[in-house]
Amino acid sequence: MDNLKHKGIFRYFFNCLTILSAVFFTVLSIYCFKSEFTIQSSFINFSFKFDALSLFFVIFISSLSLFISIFSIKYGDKYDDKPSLFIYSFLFIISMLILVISNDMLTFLIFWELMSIFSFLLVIYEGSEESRKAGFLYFLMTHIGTILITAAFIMLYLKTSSFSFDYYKGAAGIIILAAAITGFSIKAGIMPFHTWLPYAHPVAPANISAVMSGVMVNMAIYGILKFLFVFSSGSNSFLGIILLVIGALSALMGIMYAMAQKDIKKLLAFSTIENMGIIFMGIGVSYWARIENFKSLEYLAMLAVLLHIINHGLSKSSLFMGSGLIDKYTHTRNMEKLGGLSKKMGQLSVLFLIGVMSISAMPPLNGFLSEWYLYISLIGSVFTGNLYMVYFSIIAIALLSLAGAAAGAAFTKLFGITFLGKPRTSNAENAKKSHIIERIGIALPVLLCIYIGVYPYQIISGLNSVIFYLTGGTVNPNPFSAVGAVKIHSFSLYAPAIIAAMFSVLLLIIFFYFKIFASDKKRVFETWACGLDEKNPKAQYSGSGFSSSIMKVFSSFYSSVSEIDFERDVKKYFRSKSVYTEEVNDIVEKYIYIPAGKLYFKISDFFNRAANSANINVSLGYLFLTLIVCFIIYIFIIR
Amino acid sequence: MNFNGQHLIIGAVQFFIIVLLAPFFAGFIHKLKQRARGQKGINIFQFYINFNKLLKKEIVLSKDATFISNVAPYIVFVTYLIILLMLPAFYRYSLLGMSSDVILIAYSLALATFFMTLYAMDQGSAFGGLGAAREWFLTVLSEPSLIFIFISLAIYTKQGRITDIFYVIQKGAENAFLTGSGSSAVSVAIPFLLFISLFIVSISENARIPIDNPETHLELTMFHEANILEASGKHLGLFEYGSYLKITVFLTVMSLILFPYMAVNLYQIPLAFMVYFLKMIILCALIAGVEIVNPKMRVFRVPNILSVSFILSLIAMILSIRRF
Repeated sequence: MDNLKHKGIFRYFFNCLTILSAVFFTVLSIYCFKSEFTIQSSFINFSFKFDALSLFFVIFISSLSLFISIFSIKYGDKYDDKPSLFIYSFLFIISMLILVISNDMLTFLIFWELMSIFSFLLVIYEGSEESRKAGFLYFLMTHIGTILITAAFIMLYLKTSSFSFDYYKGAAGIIILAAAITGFSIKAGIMPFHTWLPYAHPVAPANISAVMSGVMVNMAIYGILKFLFVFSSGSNSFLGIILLVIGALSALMGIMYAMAQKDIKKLLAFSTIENMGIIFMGIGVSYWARIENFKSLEYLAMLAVLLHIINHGLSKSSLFMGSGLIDKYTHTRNMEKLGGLSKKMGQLSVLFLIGVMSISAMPPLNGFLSEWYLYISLIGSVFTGNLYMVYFSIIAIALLSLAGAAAGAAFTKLFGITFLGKPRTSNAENAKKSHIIERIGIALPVLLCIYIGVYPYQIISGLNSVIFYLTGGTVNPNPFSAVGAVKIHSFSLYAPAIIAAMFSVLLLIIFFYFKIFASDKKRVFETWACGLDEKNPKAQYSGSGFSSSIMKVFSSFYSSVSEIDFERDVKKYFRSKSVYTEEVNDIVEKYIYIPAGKLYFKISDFFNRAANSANINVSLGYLFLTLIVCFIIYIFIIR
Repeated sequence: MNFNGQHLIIGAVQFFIIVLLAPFFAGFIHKLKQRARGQKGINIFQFYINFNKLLKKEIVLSKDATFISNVAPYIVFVTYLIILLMLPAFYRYSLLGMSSDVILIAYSLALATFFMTLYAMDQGSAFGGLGAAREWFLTVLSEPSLIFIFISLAIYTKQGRITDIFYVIQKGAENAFLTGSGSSAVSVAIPFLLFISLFIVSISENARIPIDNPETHLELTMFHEANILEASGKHLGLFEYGSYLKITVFLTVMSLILFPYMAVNLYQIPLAFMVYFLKMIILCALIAGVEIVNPKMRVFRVPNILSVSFILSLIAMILSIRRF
């Protein structure tokens, strides 16, 4: 590593390897579609199967990792001193790719665990105190999840006495599903289990954050889809309602916390929680409709889920890559220290703007499309007339619309404070231009965002095979026919294309109208500041100021502490210095996790004192007691 | 609904008429307010003159302005045009009637807000940031009730497109009037509740007096104006015209909920247009009346009134579920 001549060789090698293996897996899964094979080793058989769901996820993972690898060919140069990053990220992506094609529970669990371990190694990669803390939390939470998933698989094994997924169809009862869904939601960062996510995703290097937020959380969705739509025995529709409500709550809470953040990557991490919530809502509706036999509703909600997986992956990974560039070229992720980057990084700001628009569901981009289909399926589930579903889908519509508007506010804040206005510190002022390869890596997913948003029919007809695999039906992808959920007529699928076309036509008309009738004169002058000669760029509106009024209204969601600190004796209006600090704490963390952690310490302290009393008789007594308990368990429970 | 040349052409004509009328409605509200206060008042057509004048003026761009400043006015304006293209007003079909989904309309309004607030933050002025923050504060509170209003309409009529929604309401009203069947307390209550709810939302979204005062440039009262404080020349013209279009959108939807009468063939158009115009004048007077009798409200009182609107639309939605 000390040899400067070979600096970067790891970076080039492993990024190219990632790209090659992404292409290889895509080709393999298309070529081997609907076939299966087994790799036998001395003590374990790895069996793989390429069905429509795996194919979808393989293409999803490999295309995103392709973009991210292109990005990190140049971006990674600041990590050349410690090239383990590239090895880990390669292995991380490979283990995800194998995970989605695995066809027995041991292979699945092994690669699930490998994925968790490599992502853990990447979280603690930077080695700071913050990243080690986040890494520990992540390690703990993800293994609680793994325990639950393993338990679900063991129960499935006991029921079917087989390792292969082929025998699990229709075998999972309610307990198995509950265990698996809880385990997977920890990985997805759904609301009560989300605490690790906003710590772990931001501390990793940006290309890894992009993989984790854009791709890895979706592996949990893969598991849930597999359990709910393939393994489920299907007699528990209330599970769908629970998923819907939890998803709606985590969508709202996620975006509300995102709004309060100052750190760009933390904001994006909270927004991941929001989008996972939206995906959960779709899964909930779809599963409920499956059990209650509302076919078209089931297909439509599934389309919303799959589209949102793609849309969220594309826009979130592009935004994380963008935030990585901001971090790299300004050395800060705190948006209160940025501002005016649009002038220094013009092309990046356009790409970032489109990513922001896509993720805050602005028509006619792709983020709107999946949210729209979700609304249609929610309205459809109102029409089913089932009392519980009507009740909860109205709540879900309310929460989703609130989350949608709040997403607009949060991402206006992100883009406006970071890219617009005057540079707030020298960090932002001395920002350098990013490299072309880095921007290409961001531009590719952004272009796909526009493409899917404006012309989604190709994607929808591609997704139909996945929808067919999971639900047994398809959605009509014909642009000139309407999508029908239950009873409601004429939600038009072809709106986005027409809107986009009309948009450009009208823009052209106005442009030419103005060319003829309006004056072309332009003058550049200072921003008006009430005639004052205000040169301090910090006098601009700040990010926390932007969100404070919304946070004040929804103050019950936050537990925030703010204080103003100034010198008391000085005259009221001429203070030389006053310090405002604000801290926004997660209420789930504050009221559940920290008390739980304290309780754990208390209990372990008690046992510690009891067990290590340094008295040999007491220790022998414990030994005897344990033996008796073991006997009792053996006699009364196992036999 | 199939593609029919006549519908499309009349839809396009309807669109042009509404776009041309929009400054008139805004000017009419302004005039009424001024007369009620005892002022002489502006010319009713003053806003046309203003727009024309603004087009002739030069643009003063800020030193800190980026591409957003050059793009946002156009996008905001075109977004409102697109929404107007979807709406029926006095003819049953509109040009984009086939893709006039209610959720699309609600989210398009958010798109316009998005770009207007980005424009506000672009010049690095503290006023702009303040306006943007307040604008989103209002939007976050009013967007759920707007979506609820639209979705209750969709559930009430079992239609997804806004053109079909109002046609169904119109048919129902006609039936009830002619035969006396199909009318009940519920089917009267739902549009009534939605009307009140939408009225509150449109007052907040259109920067009207209890919530915002569009005529002042005082920082304490500014919501909408603070966003476009730096705009000048044709950019200001576009923003101003956009705000006229926005209030026309809301008034048109309200007028259709209040009294749905749209022409279904060529011969009914003159009458339908007269009825539309009359309804709009009445609604303008209503808005002006509310603006005159109310003082401006404290900012943190606004959530209360908007939550009233949300509750009303929720009740309307529950009633419309009870209907089938």
